[in-house]
Amino acid sequence: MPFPKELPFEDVLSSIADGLFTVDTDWNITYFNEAAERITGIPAEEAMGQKCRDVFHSSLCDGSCALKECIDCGGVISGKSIFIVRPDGERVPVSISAAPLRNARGEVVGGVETFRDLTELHLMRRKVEDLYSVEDIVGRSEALGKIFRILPQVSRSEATVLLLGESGTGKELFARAVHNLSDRRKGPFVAVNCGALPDTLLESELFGYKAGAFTDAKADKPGRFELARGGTIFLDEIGDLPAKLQVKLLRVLQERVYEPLGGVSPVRTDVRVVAATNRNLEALVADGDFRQDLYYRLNVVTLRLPPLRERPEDIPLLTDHFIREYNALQGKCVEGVSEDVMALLLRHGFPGNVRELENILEFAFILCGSGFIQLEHLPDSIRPLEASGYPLGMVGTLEEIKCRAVHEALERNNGKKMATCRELDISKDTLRRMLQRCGEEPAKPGE
Amino acid sequence: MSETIICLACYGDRLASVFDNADEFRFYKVDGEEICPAGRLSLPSKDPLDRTSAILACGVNTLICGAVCRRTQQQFCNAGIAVRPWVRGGVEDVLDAFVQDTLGSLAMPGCRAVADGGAKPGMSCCRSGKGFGRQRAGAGGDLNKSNKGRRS
Repeated sequence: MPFPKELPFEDVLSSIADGLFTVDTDWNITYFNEAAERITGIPAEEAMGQKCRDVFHSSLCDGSCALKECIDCGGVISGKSIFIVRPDGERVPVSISAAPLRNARGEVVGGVETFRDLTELHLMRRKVEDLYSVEDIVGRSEALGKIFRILPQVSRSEATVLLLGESGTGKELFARAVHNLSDRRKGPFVAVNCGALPDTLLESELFGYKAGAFTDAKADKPGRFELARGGTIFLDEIGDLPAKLQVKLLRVLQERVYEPLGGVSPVRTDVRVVAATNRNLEALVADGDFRQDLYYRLNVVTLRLPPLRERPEDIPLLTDHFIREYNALQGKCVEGVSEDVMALLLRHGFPGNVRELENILEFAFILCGSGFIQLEHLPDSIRPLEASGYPLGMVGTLEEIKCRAVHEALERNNGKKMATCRELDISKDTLRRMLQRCGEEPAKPGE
Repeated sequence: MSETIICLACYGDRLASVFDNADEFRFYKVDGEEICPAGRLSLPSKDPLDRTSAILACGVNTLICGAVCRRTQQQFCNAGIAVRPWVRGGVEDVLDAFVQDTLGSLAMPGCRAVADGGAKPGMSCCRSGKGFGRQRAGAGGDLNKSNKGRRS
């Protein structure tokens, strides 16, 4: 739609809230509106006629100019997150859009760039994060909101808490939150991963032993229950607890006593138990792998932690949270993630949940020292393949690509080797050799 | 007469418009009336902290650069390095201006006062505490008489 000729075009440009400047084909500024003056801190009369890079001072100005990209490719750029540096030394996060300018004959005569100050938005995000966080847990989703609402009351009670959730959903964070919000907060918080230790060792770790209980047990050793006295013990991976220890734990929960290895008299314990698992305890009970009575003892208050894919609205908050944390830890000035990175994160399934998001951002922090995290800073596992420059399935060594092709063909053919051979147009022997090389089948002697 | 090492944060053959964007740091030894190249440093890391540390390790007295954020500048200042920010131009022009004490003439638009060092408190700093710039033997010295042919 053409702009009405009778309207004062310059007044319209001056009145818009976004910064706007135009350049000629030599990158000299030909127009600089009032918002641009305000955001950059540079008066229009000083900016006019100057190279845009000397005025804009953006993270793209040396070698990655958005305007140049638009003019060279004839396209437009929209909503790219970058930062500019003002003359007072302030880094200002902005979102830019750029497009080439053409004359009536269609010839490129320059470019136009608009930019929006994101400072307020960032401040608002920070306030929202503060609003939607309990202890170190960040989230604004309804699923998490329900837990947040009951967490203080649950924590203040002495009830045993069972945390259920997939790996990476933050079970230990919740356990710590329960401890920190309880009257036991001044006591110790002791975490034990029940799946990480062999059965025999786990028993002595949890309950301790007496001198002489076994060879080399020269002195008494307090167990984790003893170390957690007056505080909270967090039993992670409780679903992996061996049957023998399930009985002992049941006794602790029922009678508040246990016997250390080699001990002859029961020891009274004063701990609050928070347990967690990513396994289906009900199914384990049904299969006879987990004691029903222990399950009901643990299941006084059950909190189901939703996986990240069920609460995508938390991804921006969590992203900001981790960026702030890593900035503080590593002394960096990463402003955030670009719009396309955020779009990608929102589309991702996050099988590893919050831990996976954290790992992705930690990786990005290695490559991105300042400014906004862009697609190229992300690990290959999440980065769209077009950004890495390779078509689908063509990443890796030739051998890896072949293995992937064989594996995928097998999957498509439900594991039927003859059908796979027909699809790949290879002989049975070739398929067998491929599978051996890819480690899918053991090599026969002599091969 | 003390020897001074200056560092130019460059993009190609000019100063990078933003310190963080510099793809090369060029070092020059200033000894009396002479400016001699003293090496170049290309850092793959864009991390401001890495860059600051690398420049500090090179024994630099003065950094000349384009736009720089307060935090990075403060890091240099804390380490006793004088920073002459908000300067633009080709490497040769910048060196000439440095020798002639006219870096202010290469200030970026709207940044003249800052580049001259008088506008913002805390924006200038140096080892000697006498303001930034080249440490010179005499204020009125004719320092650039013989240095032009010595840099490359």
